[in-house]
Formats: sequence, structure tokens, C-alpha cells
Amino acid sequence: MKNILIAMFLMSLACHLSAQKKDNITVAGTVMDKNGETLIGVSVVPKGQPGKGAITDIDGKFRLRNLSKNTTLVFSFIGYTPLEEVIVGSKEGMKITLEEKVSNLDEVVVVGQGTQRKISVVGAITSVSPASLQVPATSVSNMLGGRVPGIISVTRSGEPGKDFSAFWIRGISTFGANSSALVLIDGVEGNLNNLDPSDIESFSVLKDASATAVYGVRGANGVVVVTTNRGRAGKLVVNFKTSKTLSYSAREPNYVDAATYGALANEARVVRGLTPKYTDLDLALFGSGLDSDLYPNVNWRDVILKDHTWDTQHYLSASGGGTNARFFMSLGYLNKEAVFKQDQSAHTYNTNVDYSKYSFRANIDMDLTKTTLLSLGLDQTIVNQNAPGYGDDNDALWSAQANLTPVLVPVKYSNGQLPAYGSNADQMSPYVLLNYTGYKQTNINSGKVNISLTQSLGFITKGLSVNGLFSYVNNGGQNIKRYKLPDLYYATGRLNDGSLDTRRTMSKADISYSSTAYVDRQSYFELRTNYERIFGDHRVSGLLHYYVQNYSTSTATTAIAAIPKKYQALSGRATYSFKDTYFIEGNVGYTGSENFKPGSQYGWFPAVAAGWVPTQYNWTKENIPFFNYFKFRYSIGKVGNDRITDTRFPYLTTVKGSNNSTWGSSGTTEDQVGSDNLRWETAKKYDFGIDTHFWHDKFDLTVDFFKDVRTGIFQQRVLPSEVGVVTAPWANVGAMKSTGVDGNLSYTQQIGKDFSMTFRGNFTFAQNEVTNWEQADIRYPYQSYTGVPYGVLRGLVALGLFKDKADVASSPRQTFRSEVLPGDIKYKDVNGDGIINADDEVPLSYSNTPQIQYGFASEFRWKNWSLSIFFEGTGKANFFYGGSGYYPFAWESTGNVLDIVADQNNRWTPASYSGTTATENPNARFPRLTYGNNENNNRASTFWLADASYLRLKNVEVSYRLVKPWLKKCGVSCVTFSLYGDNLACWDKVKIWDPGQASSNGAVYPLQRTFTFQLNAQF
Amino acid sequence: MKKLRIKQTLLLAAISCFVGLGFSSCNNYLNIDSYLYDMTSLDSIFSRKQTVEQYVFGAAALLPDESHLWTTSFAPYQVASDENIISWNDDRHAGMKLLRNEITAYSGYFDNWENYYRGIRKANIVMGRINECKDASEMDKRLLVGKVLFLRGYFYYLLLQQYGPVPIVSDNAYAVSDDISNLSVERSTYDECIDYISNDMEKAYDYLLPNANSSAEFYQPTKGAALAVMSRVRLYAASPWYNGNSFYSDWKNSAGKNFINQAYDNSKWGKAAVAAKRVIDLKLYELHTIPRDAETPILPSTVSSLAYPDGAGNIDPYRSYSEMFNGETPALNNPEIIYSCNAIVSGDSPAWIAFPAQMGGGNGLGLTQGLVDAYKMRDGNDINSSSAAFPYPSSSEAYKPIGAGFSFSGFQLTANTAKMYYNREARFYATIAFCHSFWPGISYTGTEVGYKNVELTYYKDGNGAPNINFPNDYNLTGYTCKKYIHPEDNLRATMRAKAFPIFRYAEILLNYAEALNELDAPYTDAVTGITVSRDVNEIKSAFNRVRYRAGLPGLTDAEVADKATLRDIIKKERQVEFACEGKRYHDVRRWGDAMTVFNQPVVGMNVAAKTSQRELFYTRTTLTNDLALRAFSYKMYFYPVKRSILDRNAKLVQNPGW
Repeated sequence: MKNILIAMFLMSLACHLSAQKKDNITVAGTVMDKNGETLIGVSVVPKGQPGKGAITDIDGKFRLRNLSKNTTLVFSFIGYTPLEEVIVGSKEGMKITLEEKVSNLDEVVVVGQGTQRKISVVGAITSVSPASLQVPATSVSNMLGGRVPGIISVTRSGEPGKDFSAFWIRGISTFGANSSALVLIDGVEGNLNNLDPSDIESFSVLKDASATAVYGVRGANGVVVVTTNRGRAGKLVVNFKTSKTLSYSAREPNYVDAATYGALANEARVVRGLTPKYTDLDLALFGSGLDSDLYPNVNWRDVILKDHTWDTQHYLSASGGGTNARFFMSLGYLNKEAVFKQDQSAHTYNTNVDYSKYSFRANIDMDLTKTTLLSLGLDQTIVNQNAPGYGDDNDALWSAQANLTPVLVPVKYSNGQLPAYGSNADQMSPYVLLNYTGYKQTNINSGKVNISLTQSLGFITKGLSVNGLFSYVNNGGQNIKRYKLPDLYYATGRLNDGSLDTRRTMSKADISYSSTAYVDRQSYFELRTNYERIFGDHRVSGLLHYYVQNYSTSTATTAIAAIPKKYQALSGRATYSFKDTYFIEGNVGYTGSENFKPGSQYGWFPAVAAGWVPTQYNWTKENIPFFNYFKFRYSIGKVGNDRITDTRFPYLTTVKGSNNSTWGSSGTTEDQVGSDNLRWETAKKYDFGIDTHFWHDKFDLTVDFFKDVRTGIFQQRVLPSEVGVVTAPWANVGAMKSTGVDGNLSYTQQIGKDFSMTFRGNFTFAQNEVTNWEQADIRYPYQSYTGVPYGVLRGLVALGLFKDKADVASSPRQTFRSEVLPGDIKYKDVNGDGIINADDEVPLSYSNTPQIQYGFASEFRWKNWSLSIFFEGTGKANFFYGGSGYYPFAWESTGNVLDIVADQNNRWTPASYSGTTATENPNARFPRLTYGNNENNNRASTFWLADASYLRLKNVEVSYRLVKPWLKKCGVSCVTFSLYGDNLACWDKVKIWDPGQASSNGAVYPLQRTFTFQLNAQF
Repeated sequence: MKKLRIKQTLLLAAISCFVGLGFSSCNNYLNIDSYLYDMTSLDSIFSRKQTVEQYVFGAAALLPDESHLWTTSFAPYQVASDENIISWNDDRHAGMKLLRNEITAYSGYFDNWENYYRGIRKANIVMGRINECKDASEMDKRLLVGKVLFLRGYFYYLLLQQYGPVPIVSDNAYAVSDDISNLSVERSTYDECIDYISNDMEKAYDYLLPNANSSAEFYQPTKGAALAVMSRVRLYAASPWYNGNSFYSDWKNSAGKNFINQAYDNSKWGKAAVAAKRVIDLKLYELHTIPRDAETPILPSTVSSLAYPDGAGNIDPYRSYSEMFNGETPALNNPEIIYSCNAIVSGDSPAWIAFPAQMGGGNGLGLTQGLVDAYKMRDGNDINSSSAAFPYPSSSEAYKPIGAGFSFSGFQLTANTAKMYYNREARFYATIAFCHSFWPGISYTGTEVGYKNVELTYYKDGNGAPNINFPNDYNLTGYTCKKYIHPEDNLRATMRAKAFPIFRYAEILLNYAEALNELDAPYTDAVTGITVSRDVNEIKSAFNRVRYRAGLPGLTDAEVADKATLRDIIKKERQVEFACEGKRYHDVRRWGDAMTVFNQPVVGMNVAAKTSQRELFYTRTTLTNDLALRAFSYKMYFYPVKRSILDRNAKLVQNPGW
């Protein structure tokens, strides 16, 4: 493959030799816009001789020599209508004025395997303006929710390095192994989180079948196509950004203090007929702080969390070049630090959770001949992470905060011993976990090389070009761990001499070192032929695309798993339009994956789409002037998803050694039971869309209605046990349907010369329904997984709290616990069999992935000031509360109690304890307390169902752009000062922690509220 | 210009080549054959005899280890029987949970269903593909098929034993891509299962060898093993609980057929007798005996002193019985073993739970007084009707020490032994360890005192009392089982290798006697032409071998004459002969006696008494410990089918009562 590329390269060099007759005409002049501002970097090229062009300099001036007579000069600049000027003789001081591009007709968007004029796009494609992605954030993935119609995204953690969002295009439309989108960066599958947002030149989300059919078996979940900045001929442009971010936890669960905890523990015991846990003296001691060993009062948040932390980000890019070669280079640095408070006296090294990323990118384009373009893309990302040594992740730091009550152990015993209540991760003090367990580090290094060669084949037929791309991605990483643990103790009382009687709960582990390293690589080669031509009113284009991809990783541990993952595909597209009014497009992918049985590896994925723009008729323009532009789009097609299971080659029956038997050793058994006729999952996608501009182009509206019908979703079969297979085989049995609508609306208004404002809103609604889920026998129809949304929460239907003993006696028997008392949760007997058990669990409302996501923003610009405000929200999502730190006293002595429990209005307390029936609140948020797990109350039911929908003031930005002549003299063209606030407010029903995290007990790293000051200078 | 054209044409040609190259490799690019070429696949397995054998071994690896009697056992039978009580109610001794009604259809304990069906599928696969094997002779193939037929029948037998009637799946392994409804099979009736198992065993009998080819194949099934399985299941089928039991009159399949036959059929006893007789007629097996020597005690006058098998005159009863289990006689040389497995000797072994902590054991197995009292006096009399020559002491005497220690047949009785354990039959001493039993454990060669030659006591303050760290490791009844412990065995040193007899000849003899006793009329087997009838001499000849080997008198004419009397005698003989062999639970069930037998309170010695309270210790005491709160209910006749298994097959019905 490489040899051929070199051959191509050499051949193309040869083409450079071209002969032109010259008249020695010289022209020079200035290019400016209609306001008279000079334009820098405008390309001035004699038509048909791209090698001879020039670029306007910092003063907008250009000079071209050795031109021949009647040469047509083409002046082009991004965002401006190109201008052609015929030269008849030498001329100095030409004044060229470029018109700003107002027509949307020539706007170009990135589509699958290429670009198209926006007007001709008939698929459902959302192009995101890179400018809107310049908000400070760890990853582009965090900016999509609420900004991009058609995307549903969730962010579950605020921990540096884990604070990336998961997102789905048009929601989750399969319950197979992979429901996430294919992400292509510069044409090659890549990781969005490794990309510096500032490097993005274009960002497109391909949603329907016509847009993704060319991706064949990989297109079913939608495709994100990102291209990175490339250099433009002209002056060197240097862009420097630096920012400092203040970050703090916007919401954290609050727990009761020792005295309150003790009193509630007593209530929990006494109301169930047990003796109180603490005496009055105990309670007094908790409050007094006299004995911090046996009567501690610890707020673990204060112990291990800081109020805030600072993040830093720097970015430097340079781009420029001449007519023969152009470059773009960037350097990025990001450092985030967690809100953990280290005890510097405990060690000399860093144990905080840190995330830092260094990124480097170079994109170089060279015109080898006037028809040959060689591009090189280099991209390197280095990520370093640091964390305390305990565990594989840092979740224990949070689960221990939720689990350790204020009275359990002190931060440190007065005899210097460190505490642990037990040996589980959440029974050890988070202070110890953070400070005394050594540290772990992760280093990830990922590099990519893209080499691309484009050859115009205009000499064969006009508009034909061919492009080859070779890419090699190499990711390597190492995790090292220097783990240790001190002896940990738990005090059970005092000895006669008054010293503490402690028992060792965890034994010391001397520092140990371990390391795992991995590497994976992906090679990719594609060949693409493009054809685009206009014949009068007819525009045609064609695309033929072929690629192979090969991925292998060192983490594969078995001979089967280590077989490289390969793809091979041929796809094509043909478009035709007439007068920019009628559009038709056909796409087809013929793609294959190594994962299937030979003979079943390849499949066809066709799609067709059509568009109609009635506003192109004169009649419409005259009679319905309200609409400046109106387009109907419809597409239908089939795409596939081969990433259906982590199991490789599910059609193979493989064999391994069995357990020993006394009949004879070296027995063998099936390791995996294969099944025939396996195929990829297919999606039939339908999309109907409308694009319109109306009311003097001030409103811009796009709405898409879609339907996605999945069949052949991979499921591991639920065979009767009597079939006797060693492992359940896979089959294409599942089916799912998703429907929805997404769209966006914007409004722009210019008031006077200095003020303009934009309002933008977008909306995504995607609901799904499983239409076939292979399931064995069910006893009641509501137990079926078919006919309900995927991932819908299931539980009992709570009818409130039992009023009194008579209420308990007259209700169906609840079988989870022998004794059910007034104030316990009363459930609905769904199947009417007179008892409440697991058979009464029904699907409840929604899953924890929202069905609705929306966002709206407004921008105001006045002179050099701008203000933008962005709200984001989700709807139709639920999760369950529960677990340690939520269910009070369910684990007896462990598990914190939320301060809302202490509020008498929130819990049901019998009059026999409180002395008043007023505390028998039927609408209390918590049932009658129980010391120990209450199997009746503490189970999934509507009682604990949380509404995860929210509206968030996601982002506010104020910036001022400084453009002064004195700056120019210093070589600085402009400086922008910006202040950003992120996650500034959230309106929701959860309140105790962030609803977007959908955490059952809040034992997660909270989403952060940040304030960023950024300085951006352009040179 | 012309030159340019040429260049461009060349370029175009290069690109065309390039594109062509890419596509010509299309067909191969996704091919993974090069990776799979040298890997074993299911197809390659069936092409060679050796790999088919390995696959059969893999199927046999799904057989439960039946030597795990108490700890991490495959089934609850031993622990849940009336023979014993365990000191822990935990996951490793989950048999305790059955009679405590802690097991439900949702529990994961003893979840054997799917595994057994996996074995059945593998057997079916081998039978379906054996002809693909190129290098196996017809004889080789017959033998392999015989082994998997045995396996299939055996897995069904295990299923039947645990769950009652089960679905019989197609003899052809199911295609996994088939529709679920085609793969869901209803349970067959009990008799259909018995016939299916017998059928497989009949064919296996044809194909298998009479003896193991080599010592390496010793644990593999033989003709005798196949017939022995048939004997056991035929006896089950004839027994009252499964033969015309109206308790199950309402339990029917979808076609209205009773799962348990509702018409008592006496000829089933005939089938059972024929099956047992066929094993006897093989003339390959005999009870294990050791010749008598100077240490052998004098035979009581009640016992025939003719040479075995007409009497016990020339054998040592204690050694004949004990050395079969404790590893003294190598399994290969033991004519009594029909089918066995390599017994676990360390880890969760039967020895571990019985051994005291000093010798590395768990000290958690308590045998019940009921079992202890079932053993006869040396002259064959019951303890409740003992003779003057060998009297069972009154309660005022029972606790007193015998005064002087002595040894016989290599067995040592300590001076402190209570009189109630004096002059008991040989099998008593081979099976039961009691307070003041002597534990030699002589393989221990270390210097730690008390690790061997221990006289163990179960007093509250005795040397069998628990260590403070493990307060529950004590014996609840004052008795434990030493059947599987050799005098040399010591968990702190070495343990002898042992074979666990799954089928031994004594069972066949007692099966035969029992079946004959129940026969109302002579029965002739259509296939073999064997005729059986209630021939008292046949009964005596079979039964008395077991008695004589134990050094006990044979049946009297009066005893043989009456069917009911003999039935009780046989029941009691089985209780003693097969004590702690995992058989009792099934016997009591098939006789339909479980509601009575398993609802007896657990009685033992008073282990709360201290050494100084010797008389109090030797008082029969009903255990009131939480662990002893056990009750058998009707549903427990069959183990529940796990709910998740029912959930996967709409046609399956649960066992009654669960």
C-alpha cells in the first residue's frame, strides 16, 4: 500500500511541469470589504493557474507579476462572494471590494465522505458552528447536549478525567452492545475527548440513513464528522488563549451531625420496638466533643474536600502559508485538579485526582501540482492522570463519605491510630483513602498520522477527482500504582487505664508497585473518487469510496480476541439537482466485517433521499414573500450496526480445556457455542425534514421527524436450560423502534449599527420502544420487556404510607418482611393475587436516559461587547433513590443520614414516639424509620422514584473585544477578554444533588460550577 | 502538452492499478482462517479418537463429586438426612437449609439442573457425530458411545433423584438457532424417566467393558455400573412413594397424565429384582472381606462360624467393613466397588468436617443418637432387646467407663469409653466416633503434642471444645463419622487416597433382597428371560452376605417368612450398612417414611455438660439449638426447580408445594 502511495506521489510531482505563455503583465491593489476595511489573506489566483496566485498582506495588498493578457483573476475569501476580474494590462492600485456572502445557497456543510452545498443536503445533518464550541470545557462531548438538535447527552461525573458526557444521536435506538455514534475525526475513527475544541473547523452530526448509508454496517447509530483546522494561504495568524477556571461543587448531599444522628438512630430503634441505641449521656457527648475518639462528630466532606479548585488551560495556534503550501499548528494544555483536600503532613507526593492533557496538531497541505494536493495531519495527545492509590477508580472516596456516619470513627484516634470501621472500601475513612494509600498514575499517549493525496482528474472529465488517505493511529498507555495501606483500627471502648481499646480492622500493606501497559493501533486506508459538475440547470455529483480498516490491541488476552478487527467497505453516492429546486440523492454502502461467517460478512445498505425547495419558484417568491427559503426533505434507508457484542466471532463454536473429571484429565468443553446465520443489526431509518428561513431571513427553522426501526438486534438467547448449551448463543432476535423529532429555531435581529442579538433554541425528543425482546415465559403481561421503552425502570407501585394497623390488616399481605407497621410503604397489588411480591413489579415511566433534551440561548452584541446566555434542560427521565447514604439506618451503624430526614415534616414518626399524631404525616418523604434494612420499604418502587428532569443555566459568557491601533502596532490584531460561568443554576425536583448525575445516593463526584476568565489574543 | 498527457495517463494507470489492487484483495481481507487454522474447533474434535475421548471427559467433568458428602456438597441429601446435624447453617452446608425451610425456588443452592442437561447435550452430540471419527475402530466407537450413554442415563438419574420427573429432551442435540417454543419440552412422567434411564443403561451395558481397561480408567463406568444404576432406579420406581402414590393424584402433565403413576404395580419389584440379579449374575463382584487374624475378636455364638459367605468364621468383620472406606484396601483390589469416584481427602472432605481442630478439622459434624442406636449388639440383638451375654446397659450404667482399654482388629477402645458403646457390632466402631474415641492420626510426625493419638472428648470443657476464634466449631451431638478416616490420616500431615463407592455390591444385594421380599407373584423379564420370585433362600443368600461380613447372624426363618417384618429388617440394615453414604435420604423418601423419620427431633449426648458432669453428658438430649429446628414437609420430597429455570421454559411446572 505504501509503495503505491509513493508511486502516486512521484507521478504527481511530474505533473508539475507545465508550460504557460507569458505577457509580463503586473497588477497590484488592495482588497477590502464594503465598509472599506482591508481584508487580509484574500486569495488572488489567475483562473486555472492555482500555483501562480498570491495572498493579500496585512494591509490587504497584493501584487502579481508575469501574467498573460486576458487572465481572469479570482478573488476569494471565506465568507465572501468570490469576485472575478479580467486583466487587460498592467495596473497598479486596483481597488477590489468583496461582498459579504449573504446567500445561504453556497454555504458548504461537511457530510459523509465529503462536503455538499447546504442547499443540496437532503439528509438529516446538523452542522455545528465551530464558534459555538469555543466555550471552555474538557471535551467537545460536554458541549453537545442542548446545543445540537438530535443529541441526547448525559454527564454523570464531575471528576477530572471522567467528566466527559456520554451522548447518543437521536437517543438510544438499540439495546444491543453498542448504541453510541461513530466518531470520525478528519475521516478516521477517533476519540472526541482527545480533541482540543479549539482545533475544530467543522462539526457535523449525521442522523438519518441517507447521511450515514455510506458508512454501512457502522452507520446505524449516527455519525459525528469532525474536521480540524487547516491553514489558509496568507499572513501568519497566531492565536493565543489562556484561561483560569475556578471550580467548585455546585451541590453536595448534606448529612446530619452526630447528635442529630444519634437521636434519629434512637427513633429508628424505638419505633420498631427495640431499645434505644444511645443513652442521653451518649447524645450529650456527641454534641459536646469531649471525647472525640468514642463520640466523634465528623463531617467527612469538611475533612477531605476543598471549597474550590483552579483549572488552567492554554492554547496556541499558528496558521498560514503561501500558495504552494499551507499549515496549521496548535499546542494545547489543560490541567484540572479535583476538589480533594490533601493532608500534606501525610506524605510528600501528590495524591489528588489530577487530569492534564497536552495536545499537539499539525495540518500541512501542499499543492504538488496545480491539480495535486498532498496533506499531512499529525496529531498527538498526552494525558497524565494522578489519583490516590486505593482501588481501580476513585469512587470509594465518595461511597465512603456517604457510608461513614459522623459518629463511627474520628479522623484520627487520639493515640495516633488511623481508623477503619471495616475492610470494605466504603467502611474505610475517606481521609485514609485519600492520604495514606499511595498513588496511581495513568499516562496515555495517542498519536495519529494522516497522509492524504488528492488528484484532480479534470483532464479526464471535468469535476472528477480522486483522493487517497492513509491513517495510522497508535494509542499507548500505562497505569502504575504505588499502593500502600497503614494499619487501621476501630475503637470498641476504653480499657481500665482509660486508654483506647482498639482492634485492628485492616493490616498494613507496605508500599507495592504494579504496572500495566497497553498499546493499540488502527490503520486505515481509503480511496475516494469525487465527481461534481454543473450542466446548465443540472447539477450532478458522485462519490465512490473504498476503505479498509484494521484494529488490534494488546489488551486482548485470548488467541481469538487478539485477531485484528477489520472492516472493508465500498460505498457510493449520486446526487442530482435541477435548478436548486429538486434534489434527489442515492447512497449505498457495501460493507463487510470480519466478525461474521465467511459468506455473511458483506451486506448492502441503500438509502434514497429527495428534496424540494418551493421557494425557488418565482411564483412563491412573489406570493409568499414571508418565506425566504423553504425546503422539504425526505429520506429512507437501511444502515447497519456490526458492533453488536464484545464477543468475537459469535458464529464460532470454540473449545477449551474443561475441569478435571475422575474419568480422565485433559478433558475439553465448548468455550463458546456458536450459532449460524448471524448478521449485523439493521436499522431502517425514515426522516422527514423541513428547513426554512422566514421573515426577512431573521428566523431560521429546521425540524426533523424521524423513525428508526431496528431489527436483528443481537441478544444472547434465553434458551430453556434443558437445551444444555454451555454458553448461551447469540442471535439476531431483538427489535426496537424509536421515533422522535428534533429541530432548531433561531432569530437574529440587528438594531442600528452597533447592536445585534440572536435567539436560538433547539429541541430533541427521542422515545423508543422495544418491539421484540427475546424473553422466556412471563407470568404477567407487564413483565414483558417488549412494548416498553428500553431501560425503563421497574418497581412496585407505592400507594403511600400505611395509616394505621387496620390499614395494614385490610391490605394485601406484603411479603418482603414479616412485620409491616403503620408508616411503612403500602404497595399496589397489581396482579390482584392478594399478596405483594416481586410479581407486582411493573415498568414505571422512563429510563435514566432523558427522552427530551433542549436548549435555548441568546446572544447580544453591542459594539465590542457580547453577552451570551445558554440554558439547557432535559425531560422524561427517572432514577431511583436508595443505597447507603439515602435509606436511613438500612445498614445499621453505617450509612449517613441526609439532613432532610431530620426535618420532622419529611418523615413519618408514630404518635407513640413523638407524642403527637401530627408527625404521622401520610405524605412524608421517608417512611417510619427502621434500624437495619427494611426489606419492605427499601426496594424499587414509585415511592423512591426521582424525576431527573431539569433546566440548567448552563452557560453565561461576557466578552469584550479590544481592537486598537496601538495594539496593531505591537503586532496584536485583537484581544478578547471573556468571563464564562458554567452550570450556574439548576431548577429541578431532586435538589439534594445534581439530577443529571442520576445517582441513587449522591455518592459521586459532583458536577462542578465553574467561572473562567479567558484571554484570547490574535496576532 | 503532449508530455503532460503521457504523465497524466501514467498517473491514471497507477491509480487504476492501485484501486484494482485494493479490490482484488477484497475477498481475503476479512478472512480469519489463518488465525483459526491451528486452533481446536468442535469439528476437529470429532475427527480424532483421542479428542473425542477428551470431549467425553469434559462431559464427565459435569458429574457431581459425590464424595462431597457434607461440605460444599452437590446435593442436600446427606446433610438433610436424619443421620446427622451440622454445626453451621451456611452456604457450604446448605443442606441444613432444606429441612429448615430456608430453601425456595429462588435460592441458588444445589442448582444442578442446567449442568446436568449440559452433560446430556454433550452426550447427544457425541452420539450424533461419532461416525466422523476417522481413526477409531468400531470397537472404539462402541465403547465411546457406551460411555456417553451411561453419562446421559446417569445425568437423568441425578435429575430424577433431585427434581423428580424431568423433561426428556430429544436424542439429537438441539440446534441453538431453533425457536424457543420448539426447544421447550414438558416434563415426562416418573415412569417414562425410569424407562429412559434404564434404556440408556441397557445399551450402555451392551457397549461397555466388563472391567476397566487400565488403572487410569478405573473410575469410568463398566457393564456392572450400568446395571447397578438400573438396579437403583428400578428399585426407586417400585417403591411406594413412586408406585401408585395417590398423594400425587392431582399432579398431571398437560395431557392429563399423572407424573407419578397412580396404579400400584407389583411387577415393578420384579423389574427391580431382575436388575439386581443381573449384577449378581455378572459374578464380577463380592463383598470386601479381610481374613481373620489373631487380633480378630471371637465370634459370638449366634453368628455362623462357617467360612464367608455362609458365615463369618474366617473373616475380620471390623476390617472387612472399615478398610473398604478408609483407603487401606486400594480401590483397584476391592471387589465390592462397582462404580466409584476418586474421593476428596483434603479441603472440604468428609474427613475435614469430622476431624477435631487439633488434627486440622472443622469438628462440625454431629451424628444423631437415632443412627447410633440403630447399630446392634455384637450378637445381632437390638439394643432394646439385648441378651445377657452382650447386654446394653441401663441408663444408670450406660455412662460409666468400661474401665480398661483394649484393642481389637487394630481398633483401640479407650478405658474411658462409656458402657453404652461397649460390645456393639463391628460397623459401629468403623463408622461412629464418640466421646473418648481414640484418634490415632499417626501420619503426623511433628513435635506438637496433641496433634495425634488424641482421645477426643466432646464435653463442654473437653479437648473437642471450640477454640474461642471459632465458637461454632463444636460437635452438637457428641458423635461424628469416622468411616472415611484411616488411622494414619491427619489433616496436619497426610491423608490416604480413597475411592468413594457410589455403587457397591452390598447395595445390589440389599436391593435384591428388598425387591424379592415385596414380590407378590413371580416375574419373568421379557428381555433376559430371568424369572424372580419371593424365594426365601435367594433373599437369605443375598441379605446374609451383608450380615456375615459385619460379623452378625443371618436372617431367621421366622424373619424371612413375614414380608412386613423383613421389610423393617431390610430398612434397618440399609440404615446401618449405608450410614453416611448419602443413600439414607433417598431410601426414606422412596419408602414414603420421610414425614415420620425426618420429623423426629434431633437427639444426641448433652454436649453442654462438663467433664465433671459425666452422667449428665451421657444423657440422651433433644437438641433445642436453633440449628436443630428442622421439619420435613411434603413438598421436600422433591427439590424445587429454580424459578429462573421455570422462567425459561413455559411448559415446565414446579414441583408440588413449592
